[in-house]
Amino acid sequence: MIITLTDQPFEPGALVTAFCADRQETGAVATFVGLARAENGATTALELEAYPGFTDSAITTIAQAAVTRFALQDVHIVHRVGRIAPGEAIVFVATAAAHRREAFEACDHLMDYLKSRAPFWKKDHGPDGPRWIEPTARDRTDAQRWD
Amino acid sequence: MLRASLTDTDPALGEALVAAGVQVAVDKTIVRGDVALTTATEVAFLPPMSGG
Repeated sequence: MIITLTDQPFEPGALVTAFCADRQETGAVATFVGLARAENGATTALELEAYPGFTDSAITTIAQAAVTRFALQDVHIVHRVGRIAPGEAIVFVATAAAHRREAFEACDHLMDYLKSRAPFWKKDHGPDGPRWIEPTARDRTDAQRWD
Repeated sequence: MLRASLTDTDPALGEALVAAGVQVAVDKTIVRGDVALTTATEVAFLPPMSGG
């Protein structure tokens, strides 16, 4: 299991290739890539702040619970911090399991938890200045599906 | 005590620290209510979180 917070852009394809390499007993790998939206010009950049040592440990706890719950063989999560331009990848989640259902569901579950329960502070920069973002009602109800 | 001492130094900060949704972490673990800081090395006041 690898959890990475990075302030550098990353290439999702390279991460998928590396995650799939050298697997003899994995029947399914599910991946998700979240990109920053421009919102038709309303967002010029996103700025994500993490609390080092706290944010990564919270994500590790979420990922470990998912490994147990969905019988995963492996998880890789990469999350950007710092300033992110529209079109850039913000988050990458890959799950490996023996069969596809567990891999799909775990990927969905991890994204729901990352969106509403991972300790990040997110600011939207646009023409009207910066604005702090909170999880949407939809983000919260999505995460509650797994409670 | 820490919050009171910070409020004495900076009343605006003191007000922000008790705003709705602010949580406290001691040595990177969320705590509620009053906690003795005898062995703690780090206290963080966390504003409402945005999620990823």
